[in-house]
Amino acid sequence: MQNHTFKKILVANRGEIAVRVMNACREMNISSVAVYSEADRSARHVLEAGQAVEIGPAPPLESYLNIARIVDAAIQTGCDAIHPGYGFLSENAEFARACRKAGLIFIGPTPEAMEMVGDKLTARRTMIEAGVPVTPGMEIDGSDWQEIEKAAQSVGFPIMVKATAGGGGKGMRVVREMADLSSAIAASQREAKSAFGNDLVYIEKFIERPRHIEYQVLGDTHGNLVHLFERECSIQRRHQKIVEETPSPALDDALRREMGETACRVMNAVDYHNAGTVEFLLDEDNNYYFLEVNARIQVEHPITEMVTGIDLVKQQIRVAAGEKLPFKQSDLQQRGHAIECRIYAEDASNQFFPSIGTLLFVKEPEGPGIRCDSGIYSGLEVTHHYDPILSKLVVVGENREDSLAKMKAALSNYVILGVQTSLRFLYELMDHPEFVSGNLHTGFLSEHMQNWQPSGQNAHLQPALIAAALASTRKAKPAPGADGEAAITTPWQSLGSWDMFN
Amino acid sequence: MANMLLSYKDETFDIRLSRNAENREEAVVNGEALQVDHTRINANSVLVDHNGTSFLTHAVEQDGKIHVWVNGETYIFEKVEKASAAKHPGADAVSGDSNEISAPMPGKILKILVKEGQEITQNERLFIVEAMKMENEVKSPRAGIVKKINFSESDLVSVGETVVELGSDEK
Repeated sequence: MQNHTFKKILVANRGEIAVRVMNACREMNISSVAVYSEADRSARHVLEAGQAVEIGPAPPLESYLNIARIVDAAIQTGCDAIHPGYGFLSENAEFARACRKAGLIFIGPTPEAMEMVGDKLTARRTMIEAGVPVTPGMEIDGSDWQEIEKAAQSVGFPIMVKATAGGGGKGMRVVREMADLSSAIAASQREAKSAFGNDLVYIEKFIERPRHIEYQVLGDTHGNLVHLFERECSIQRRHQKIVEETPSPALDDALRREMGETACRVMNAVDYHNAGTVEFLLDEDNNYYFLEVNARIQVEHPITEMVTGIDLVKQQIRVAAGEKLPFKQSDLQQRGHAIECRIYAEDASNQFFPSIGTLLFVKEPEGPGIRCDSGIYSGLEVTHHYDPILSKLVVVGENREDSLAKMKAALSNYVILGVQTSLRFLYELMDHPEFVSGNLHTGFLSEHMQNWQPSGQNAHLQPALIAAALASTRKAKPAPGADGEAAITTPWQSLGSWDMFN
Repeated sequence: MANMLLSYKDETFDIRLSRNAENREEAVVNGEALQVDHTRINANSVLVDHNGTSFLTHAVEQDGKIHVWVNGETYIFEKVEKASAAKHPGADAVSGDSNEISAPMPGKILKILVKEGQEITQNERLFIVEAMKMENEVKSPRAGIVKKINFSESDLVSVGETVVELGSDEK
């Protein structure tokens, strides 16, 4: 067993990913420090950490994006390193530099590599030079409207407006005609500014019905770099992935190998180390185009872990500590089939509007091949300040069919009361004939599940009514007092306290 | 006899829990008798035996609503008070006229795109609500005139609060 350099790591994030990183630290015998905003005093990640430091008010710009406060917290608590998770400061080169300057190790790529891939325009230029296929597109400099209009005409509609920083669908808009372009650019800029602190955007040709295929890559500081195969993330709403799987039903062995080699070429072109993801679009004729590099651990990393058996977060930590990757490309293979469903606090029957409130009751599914990366607990308050992701439900099965069956069973065993969730929507998606056949593209949800309403609801209305009546009578009963009366009684013993009328 | 009225979507259920002549627990729902053998598991969970099948249920009551999970489905029942039940249940449903445009979700009013007195067309963008870092545009369901705006930019709104009131086209 090798000795790790790190004694204590600060996790500069919140929610399920912060909990995930802390779990890896615990298994590696490394202490963890949480940071939290005023709105997150009792958030799950704060409860899981060995130590926790408050870093500011609820708005991300004043807390989770506050570089000075976070670096200070790491120094004051005696940390060796900072893990940024995903989102927030994870792809912020300035933050990586601030860590370096303060003598802290940033668990991720170097700021130089981050800048080469993090700015989507620079990345495009680099990839074109490296001979990697890219989507037809156009760079926009500044805010000269005439220039933008000309660029849009030359790329041709439909056009995708994107923030040069960040991802996760924030700051992205599809525009089908010139009339909508300026308001889309303005909205993207505002979202990008608020989410990433940087409002630069660019436009590119929007490819119809593409699949989103991405490759997990892992590199050490000794010149070794491997890919851990693909993830298909074509199921998206608001340009944000909500279901991911691996292997992709679209790739055969030859294409899988070719795209994997291209992914490694992409990362070698920028001298990348640590964990990163190379995203491609795959069109209907199996042409693939480089989309972007995500220079961080991804939300959907668990499915790769489930089929390769490699713990990506632990590898990130080891590589950052200067260790060599303990495996070569030829040691890696995919075993079985894994799916992830992101569980959001949102109303899938009403345009996925976020739903906030107190989680009244939470019970997570378990069983062979089921993993729940969760950031919640019964009693947690879900606020409007942050991304509404509650947890990620991940399953691994022998093959896709087995994996789908497992996911459906797990979804229908997941209990979250108090806010609207996407659980029922995801269940019906797993059952959709086109999804079952693997005919996926990034517009799948708008094509097949637009204006979705739950079907087959009310199947259990009678037992639900009985449970409600029992819960209500239980509530009406005075709380157990000093007389030591048991809290749990049947309503038939407590008829006297019911709401009586007639 | 003990009663309660629970509403779910547009329906109201009259539930009476009692013991029958053989001292078995029984529920009468809208006049129909149901066997309700059950086992309490803990403060929130009850195993309900319904027509020969056991259902594990979880339920929590808060603010007059009872949230119930059974077999992968979630139900939210509203307790109907005696007074309003006596009138006509469901009477306080939101008026069907779309004169009041409300916030579809809780969040911050990021931008208000119209002014009081302004004539607007159907689908014209009225305001933008930001929640969880996502912008959501609210459009007008019809043509008309902006009668009143109840909020300013940067205000926080709760779901259902009227942000913009519309008037008819005639002056």
